[in-house]
Amino acid sequence: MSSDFRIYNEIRKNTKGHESVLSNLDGLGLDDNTRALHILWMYPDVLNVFGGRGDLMALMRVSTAMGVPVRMRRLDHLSDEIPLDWADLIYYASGDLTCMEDILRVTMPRKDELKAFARKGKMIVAVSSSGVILADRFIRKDGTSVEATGLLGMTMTEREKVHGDDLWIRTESGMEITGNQIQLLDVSLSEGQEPLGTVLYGHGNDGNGMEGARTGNVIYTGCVGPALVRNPWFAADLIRNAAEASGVSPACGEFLLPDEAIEQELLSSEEARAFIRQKM
Amino acid sequence: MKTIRFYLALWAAKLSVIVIDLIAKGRGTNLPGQVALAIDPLFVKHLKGIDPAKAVFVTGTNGKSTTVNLLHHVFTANGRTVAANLDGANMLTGVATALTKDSTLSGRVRSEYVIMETDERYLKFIRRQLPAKQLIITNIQKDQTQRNGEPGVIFNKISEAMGEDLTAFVNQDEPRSFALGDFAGRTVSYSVKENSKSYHKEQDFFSVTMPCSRCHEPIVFHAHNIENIGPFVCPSCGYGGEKEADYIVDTVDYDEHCFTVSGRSYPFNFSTPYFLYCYISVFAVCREMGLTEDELHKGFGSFSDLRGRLADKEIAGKTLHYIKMKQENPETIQSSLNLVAEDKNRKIFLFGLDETLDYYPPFTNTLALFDVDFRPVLDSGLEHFVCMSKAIGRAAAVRMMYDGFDPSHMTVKPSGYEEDVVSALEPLGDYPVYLVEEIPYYKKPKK
Repeated sequence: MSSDFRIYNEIRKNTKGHESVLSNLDGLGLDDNTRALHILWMYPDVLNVFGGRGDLMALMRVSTAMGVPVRMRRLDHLSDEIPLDWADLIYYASGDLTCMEDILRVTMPRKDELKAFARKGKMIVAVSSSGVILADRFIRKDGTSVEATGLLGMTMTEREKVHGDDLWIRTESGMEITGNQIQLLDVSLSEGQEPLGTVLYGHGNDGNGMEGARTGNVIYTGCVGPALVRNPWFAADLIRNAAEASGVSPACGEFLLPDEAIEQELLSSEEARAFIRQKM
Repeated sequence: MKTIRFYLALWAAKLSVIVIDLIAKGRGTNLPGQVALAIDPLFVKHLKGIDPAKAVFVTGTNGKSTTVNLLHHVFTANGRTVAANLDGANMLTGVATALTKDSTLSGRVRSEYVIMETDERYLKFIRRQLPAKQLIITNIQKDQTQRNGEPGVIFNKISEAMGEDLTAFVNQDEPRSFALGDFAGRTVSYSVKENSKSYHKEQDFFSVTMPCSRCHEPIVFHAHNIENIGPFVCPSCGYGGEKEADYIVDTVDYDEHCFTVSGRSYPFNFSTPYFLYCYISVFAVCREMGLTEDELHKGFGSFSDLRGRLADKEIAGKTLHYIKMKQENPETIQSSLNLVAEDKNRKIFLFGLDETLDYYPPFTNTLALFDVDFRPVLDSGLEHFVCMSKAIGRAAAVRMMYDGFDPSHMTVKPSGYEEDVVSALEPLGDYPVYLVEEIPYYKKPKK
């Protein structure tokens, strides 16, 4: 078995229950006092569609393969205080739209602190319908408009029909990401708001050739699959950016994700691209 | 004019039933209804002789067909006449077809009772024409993402179809089904107590449950009778733990093929807990509609499965235990994996998740893979695993590696066609072989 999967699986096996912090420090042979990247997994039971937990598994596995020390915590309840002082990377996996207004209810009072968190270069990622949390506003099918945090300049509008298909995008840095898109909300970017990437195949934000949104280290993507499992280079990019912003260094000194560590994912990605090419 | 249109629709539909029967008997579960509705869009509404109080709709993600067939069986075994769509054609056209077949030339439905499987998304449109007053909601789970998106979408669609005129039979062990009771004039609940096949999930850092349908805080399951269905409570608002269900399977003896409700034993010709929910929902409806316990006993005793999910095949000199699943539905995948894990011998595990062909366009759907847990299969004893798909075989393999599967014991094949399965199995030793997949590619010749 490739060593990083082995270490990842040992790390996972050694944790029980939800209370613990999952850490790869032991697995990487690092001291407990080592400054690690702190990843906060937001509402795992609530934001739980499209296998979103896979993204968090990928963050742990890929950071381990890169030798980046990580501590991961769950924030289980909407009523729990968001530990912004602790976190370096806040991750909102894809969730059911019906939960979003309750999440915004508890998030809006912390909106300014979240903006200050982002201004420090710390990372916030939201996937699929959870992008609502980072948007300016969210408009329901019945026309109701709900104000959101405005961390990204975008409005998300509930669609009449679900759009489901493959998605293939290229980011500004040239990274290619493939996955699935189950779109319940069309995304309209405000003037000046940068997308995450351009669409090579699929619907993207609203069929206009752009996908996602990014301002500094605040990112929204509609790509699921889970996207970080299917594209470990995307996970590596998030880890590197979040670690650099938080002063966390990899054990070997360089942020490298060797191809041999992701051999199966590279093959898997090629499989998917071959399938998508048939539709292009 | 309305009347003429209705009769034209009825006779055209009846004629198409006759023609289809001549060409391909047993087919044509939708076409006659399509013909009728094309001529008279309110065809179902214009049919005569239906008592909405004696009309039962069955909706939900899983278990609709079995529940409708069981309900139909119990009613007819006890001398009631029933119009039903037993073949699973569950949209308005399927309902119209079933009623056409049951009606006279003057458009009067002959049967006293109407029992229809109804697609969750079309329930509202069907009820507009046939306002059945009884509705069984089996469960609302992740399924067919390309059409349904998230479970909340389906929850909303069903709730829009409900109203004060309705009695909802809700599954008290399934959080979303139970919450839909809020939208009915009257609610009757059913549940199954923890039993010998119930299980508790291993809790680790990545374990997840689901949001409470009322307050959206996490639900806690005391046990799972089947995946994500079992006694539950929301610790934050108390939802789910307030009262006992109206109808409860108290005990079940899988070896003796029986279960008990309120101290009386009933025959149960199955060995998987999944069917218990079909039985208890049917029990609840039948009792509420006036059938006696003796009649239920008689009906349950003579019911047997119509479409098995399990089969054994001989291939490459090995016995292959074949388990069908709905690959977009994590709960049925997990139930299939749990069945494999019941065998504690070292085994060969074949997994046939493939691109989704359910809807347009087909896509490399890997969404359900991280909603299930493969570790029970690994922990039960695994010699080798084979992933079969050209589009997502590697993706499935990666998923299993995330659960600890060893890639040195892995084969990825581009299809589940027989020759690929044979070439994967031939070099492997004499171990039990399990195949979990939706589409039985393995028995088809390669094109």
